[in-house]
Amino acid sequence: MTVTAPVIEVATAAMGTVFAVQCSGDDTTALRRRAGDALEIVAQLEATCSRFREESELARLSATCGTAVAVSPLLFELLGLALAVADVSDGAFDPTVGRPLSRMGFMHEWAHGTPRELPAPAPASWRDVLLDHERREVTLRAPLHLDLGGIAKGFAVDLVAQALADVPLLSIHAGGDVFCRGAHPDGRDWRVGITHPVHPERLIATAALAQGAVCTSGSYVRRTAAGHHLIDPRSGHAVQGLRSVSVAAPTTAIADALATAAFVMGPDIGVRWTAEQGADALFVTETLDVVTTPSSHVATWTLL
Amino acid sequence: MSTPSVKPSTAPAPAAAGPARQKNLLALGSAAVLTVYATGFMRTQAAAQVLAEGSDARRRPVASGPDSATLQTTTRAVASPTVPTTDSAQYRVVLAQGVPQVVANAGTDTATWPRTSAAPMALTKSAKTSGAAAATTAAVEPTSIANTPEPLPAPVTPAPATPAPTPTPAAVAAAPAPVAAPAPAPAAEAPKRIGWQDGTYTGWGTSRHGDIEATVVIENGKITGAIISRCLTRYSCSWVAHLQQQVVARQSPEVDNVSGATQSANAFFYAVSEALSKAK
Repeated sequence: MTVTAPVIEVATAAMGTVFAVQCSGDDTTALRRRAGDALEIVAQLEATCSRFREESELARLSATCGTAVAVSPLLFELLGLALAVADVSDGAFDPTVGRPLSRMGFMHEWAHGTPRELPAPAPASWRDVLLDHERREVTLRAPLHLDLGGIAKGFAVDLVAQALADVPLLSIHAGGDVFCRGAHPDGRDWRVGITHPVHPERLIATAALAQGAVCTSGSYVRRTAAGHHLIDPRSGHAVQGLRSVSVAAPTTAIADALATAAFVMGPDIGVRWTAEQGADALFVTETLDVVTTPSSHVATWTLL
Repeated sequence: MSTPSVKPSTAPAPAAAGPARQKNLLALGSAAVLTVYATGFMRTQAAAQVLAEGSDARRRPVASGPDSATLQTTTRAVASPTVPTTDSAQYRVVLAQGVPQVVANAGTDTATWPRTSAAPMALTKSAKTSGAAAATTAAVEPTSIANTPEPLPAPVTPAPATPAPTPTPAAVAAAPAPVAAPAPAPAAEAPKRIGWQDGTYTGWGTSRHGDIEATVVIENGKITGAIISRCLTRYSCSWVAHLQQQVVARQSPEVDNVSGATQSANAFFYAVSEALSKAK
């Protein structure tokens, strides 16, 4: 690679954040066009999988119960991936928010319009989402709401990266999710900074990686009176004891989801678990202690 | 249909062998991406081919080759006159067994995309330039300082390299950076593709912290300036310049990008997007 190869950046606003693609190549005009095209899938993913858009495929699916619904490959794959993480994390990551809804009294079957008590009082969870791979159909066994927020952004980054699979040098940044690929021009590893949860203008650590993704889940943003947005799906309560969890993994969707799951699990269980998944994690506790996985499958952490 | 490659463990099957299952996660992540493309979701079948190959080369083979070969023909294809033929050339190479069909989504004229492109720069320090859009982020979200750090990439790079950093007018300092960046781009490239109408446009962006009005100036089809023309956020927009410098000062120049917790919407960015949509 030529050291003088120009770096171009193309960005778009989607999913409540900014997606920025940086890549390098000789034909910058073509590259810029391709990066722009690649970013279009982000908007498509958002239109398909947003929980906040009533007309999204995800929202329409969430409104059903008990019937098999054919969905697009995009939603199906993302949902399948989310369920896989839910399975492996034993529900620490859960793309349904059925439980809180149940507690709020949403115990009716919505499909037929007529409210009726469901026989099973058991709260809904990811186990109530059934996939039919042959027909690409999804069946919600209980009334629940799907929320792919913990993985969709990462998946979008992966889709963009894939669309630019032949671009040798690529870096994608989306609201804190970072993906890097290709030999760094300086011949060293990529270095991704990890935001300090208390002093966000500073870094608390860096991750060095040849390629892969680094995602961070933190309790320091999106706070409400009731607590932050990271809820233990199994208890319905905001998770305590941690400020942030960063995960480095080969793909962004997985790093994204693992960070959420690991946050819920806490450092004791989370450290071992993320390592078992072939990923690396860095936990920042409430007391600002840092715990990392002993392994370095993807990245090496350096505390600052 | 054509999603067999992901079949394995995605089903919410109860118990399963721990380790075996766990190993699958990373593989599934890649497989899901491939499947999305292989099923013709994206605009070109050809692209899916490229993707599959590229990925095979650099990742552990996850999706079965034959699977991606079983591409379905997307019927939503809409040949778009705007489809860049130059690009397709790259795809065609691999197109042999694919369907040489170009799929474009209606109304995806690239001009509508609020893309920001930084001027080409020496690829020395890092592949990051992110100055453009990223810097904006830092710029406009007052409280969500939490997020701000990520945009750093721009400043992170040795200051000189980045076109954006120089905070000019106090408050709005950082603002112009993002969009102004593309301006310096060599006249040789991009202009025809962008094709904005010359003029001055305004747009509004909203965030949790309030609204921001951006004014964008287009000259010769390119953005030559963008500023925050009205700031109705709960915090003064003057924090921008300050933060920008702070960020530059504290950020390690050795870092290529920053991972932080989720960002909230960037009002300025949306404002600029809206303004640009009027400039089409």
